[in-house]
Amino acid sequence: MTGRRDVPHAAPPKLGMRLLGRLLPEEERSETKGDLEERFQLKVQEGHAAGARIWFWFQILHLVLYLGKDRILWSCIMFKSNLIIAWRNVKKSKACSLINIAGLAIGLACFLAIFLYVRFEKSYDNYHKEGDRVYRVATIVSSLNMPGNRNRFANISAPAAPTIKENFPQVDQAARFYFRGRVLVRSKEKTFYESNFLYADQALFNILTIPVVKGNVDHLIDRPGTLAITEGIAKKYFGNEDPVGKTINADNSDFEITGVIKDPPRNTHVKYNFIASLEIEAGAKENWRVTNYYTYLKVNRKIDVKNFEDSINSFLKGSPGKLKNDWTYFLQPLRDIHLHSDLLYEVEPPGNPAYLNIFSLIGAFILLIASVNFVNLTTARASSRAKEVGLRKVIGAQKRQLIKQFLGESLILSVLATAIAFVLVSVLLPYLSRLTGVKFELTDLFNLPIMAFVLALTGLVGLGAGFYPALVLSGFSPILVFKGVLRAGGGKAALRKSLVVVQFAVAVVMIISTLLVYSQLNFMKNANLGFDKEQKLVVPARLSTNNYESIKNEFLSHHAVKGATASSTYPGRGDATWGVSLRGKDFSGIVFNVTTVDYDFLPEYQLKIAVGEGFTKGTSGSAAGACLINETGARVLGFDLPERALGSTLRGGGQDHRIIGVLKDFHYRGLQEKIDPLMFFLPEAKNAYLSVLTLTLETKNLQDTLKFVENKWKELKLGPIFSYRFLDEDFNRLYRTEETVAKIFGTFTALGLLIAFLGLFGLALLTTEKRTKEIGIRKVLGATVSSIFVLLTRDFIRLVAVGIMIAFPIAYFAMHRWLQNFAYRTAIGWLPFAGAAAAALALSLLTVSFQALKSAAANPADSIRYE
Amino acid sequence: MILLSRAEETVLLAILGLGDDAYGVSILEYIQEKTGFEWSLAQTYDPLKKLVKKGYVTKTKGDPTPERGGRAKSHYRLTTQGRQALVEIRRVQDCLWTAVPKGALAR
Repeated sequence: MTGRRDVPHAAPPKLGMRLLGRLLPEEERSETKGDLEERFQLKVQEGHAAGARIWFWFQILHLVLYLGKDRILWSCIMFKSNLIIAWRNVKKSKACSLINIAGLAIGLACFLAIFLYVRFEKSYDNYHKEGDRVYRVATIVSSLNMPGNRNRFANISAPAAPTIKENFPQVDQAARFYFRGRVLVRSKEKTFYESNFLYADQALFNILTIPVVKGNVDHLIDRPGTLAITEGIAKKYFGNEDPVGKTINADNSDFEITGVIKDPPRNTHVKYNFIASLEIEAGAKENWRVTNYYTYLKVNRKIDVKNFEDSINSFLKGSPGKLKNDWTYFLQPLRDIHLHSDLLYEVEPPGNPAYLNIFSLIGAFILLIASVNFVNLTTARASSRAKEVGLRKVIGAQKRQLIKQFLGESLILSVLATAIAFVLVSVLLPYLSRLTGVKFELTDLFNLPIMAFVLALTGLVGLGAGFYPALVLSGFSPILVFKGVLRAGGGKAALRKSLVVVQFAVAVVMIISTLLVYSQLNFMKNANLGFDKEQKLVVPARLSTNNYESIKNEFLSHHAVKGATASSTYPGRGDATWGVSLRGKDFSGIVFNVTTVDYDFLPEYQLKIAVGEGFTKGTSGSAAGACLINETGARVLGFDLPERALGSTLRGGGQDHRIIGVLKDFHYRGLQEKIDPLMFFLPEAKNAYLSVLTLTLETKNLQDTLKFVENKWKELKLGPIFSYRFLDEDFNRLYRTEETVAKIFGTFTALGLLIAFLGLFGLALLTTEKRTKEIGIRKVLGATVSSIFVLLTRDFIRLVAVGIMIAFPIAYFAMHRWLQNFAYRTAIGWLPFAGAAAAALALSLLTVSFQALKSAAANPADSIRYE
Repeated sequence: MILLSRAEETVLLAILGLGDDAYGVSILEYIQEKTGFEWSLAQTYDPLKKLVKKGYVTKTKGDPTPERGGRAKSHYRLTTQGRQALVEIRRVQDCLWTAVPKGALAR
């Protein structure tokens, strides 16, 4: 059969040959490879090169299967046997196994829940097609010397978008929108206040991915007076009718509905319910001063952001009347806006990446605590399996096989725990939604990436936590085991002890942090804000400056209404801001928050005057053009003493304002933020409007009073829809982020603690069990119950105490850093530390003493007979 | 009675038919040529190994050839036991077939 045709030699795929070389026993290697190659050659020479390859791989597959046949069969048999052994072990010490699995399940569930939340926060705006080429243009105003990001603005001037698009070829699309948080919308039958109303350029649909259900995507809102609504809104106003072509009224102008778009996903920073065509009056088209427009660019190639920013700025500053000299535009990648941009006037309050890191850390900690339990309980129980290991080794088991067996066991347990964790999380999903404020659904949990991640995690935890115990168990020497040397203790307990220390250090850090988060929250909620927020009812109302005094009197006619005042805004709500400068001095624009108030505002809110006078009816000082500023304002304007500010004139909002008094500083914003300059003045123009009515109410018969206010409000026709809020509640809403953080901290700390104490309980169970005989003998020799109790608990308490010691400095530094986020913060007192230490000690004593008391009180006759 | 699996029997017959030139590839080709069934290498090795173990076949190393990438062949040859086994198998088969009534298969 030699002497075949002389055709160039074709070698079979190298990879397959190498694979065979690895798998085959040596004596068969050359024969098999040779046969394969010869046959392959023949096939190639017959002209089926492709066929030969397929044949080749088919051969390899077959060979591997035949080779592994026995091995697969045997591993199945061993797996079954090991499974039975594992199950018997689980059943043998039910308490321990339960603690092991439950702890791991809770730990994994916590981790999974936190992972879901963090993943969601990081997924913001990741769904836009070609979203990596989309940037938002924002401004830094360098002349505003403000701390933090308080001189950076998210929205810019109207002409910027068209100008940039015209002059920069790398910009494919540019679009602006103007955002309204609250708009009165009327259809034929229905009227509601609606949120998230956008006036936008048609190009927005080319930049953000906004799926259109009905209507022409390319000409949805390119005519004046056209509007696209979401499916949700369509259903709300029109039920099952087709809304396209119908008319709807928003803020007193009619819109033709030209299309229906999908509801916005949860993970976008631009939440929209309505997108209307943006019309800018001819006069405002070239107005670079008014900055109301969020502006997005889509570039057509990869750009160097820094360079591009520079060229935009130099171009816009090059021609007069465009970008002011102290303004600088910068670009933000679309995906970074939610987490890495905290500017003034964001469309939606941004997320906090620092908190995401903290939460991830908590998740990792809890998983660590649970894994430590697993390691500790398994190694502590190792001695009970010493005989099994000894016997297996005598029969001929290799160390490797034993390690495999024990790793397999821990994998099985962790798979079981994962299954339970999945059930736990899916059951507690509504609670997680409430906790985080993100609406989670089952599909968030049961999808491929999450499943794959959790599977990997299970493997990691199972192998990671099982590795050390497997090493310990498989390392037993059969001779020592059968001599009986290796019974009590199960080897050195140093690792076990240090793991307990780590566990409790982590747990105590978490307790202290939680306590401090809550104490900061309480501090902010109960701090003296410098004004009275109790019993104040805030009612949005359209109050004409011509007659608001008489309207106030109408409300005051009710006996439970103690006071009334009208203003343009109220504490806790955003203010208008003006750039203000001092007459006669060269200050270019200090930002003041400005509020229009009536004569009763100061007494109603109990604001204190530092120097000068307040607004008093009829006095010359309170004539037109008078204003009040706060102490911070006076200081920022350059007056070392507030008195010096009196009589000076401020230029702002196109008018002069004479300072007649300086208010004591009060917190008109949340305590996270420093007090900024503030300015009050009286309503000056006739036929203007104030928008907020504040009523001071008696708390008795509150329901009746509210009814009266509502009826009166409707009778006086102060607006389309009546709504109200209590000032104290509304103000505390500023602390919602901190409240969420506190709740999340609290919940997960509690769970972490639960796991840690479960572990301690299990450990106490095992060690006291092992000392049963010792205790019996001690008692026979005259030990008292209390001395044995001390003996048994002492070790554990010592470990917990060391953990606490380690936790103190870590917690202190961590929380010190966290508190830097707040302009006004609670002091870090000793109380949270003492409390956490006491709680940890008391709870661990309780956990351990259950077992200790039981065995200390046991009858020595029974104890000695044990084993 | 000597019991062999069909695979072993087939391979044994192929070696008998090939005479001195029985090795992996030739056995494969022989079976394909005579029966029309294409076996994979793994399918021939498995019975070959068992036959060697049972002593029906001996395995000797041959010469390396270029089309095998310079690797040696393993030649397989029947032993006396192997021949006896085939004889017996054939006898058993013949006996059984002759005992089958005419037309029984056709039904």
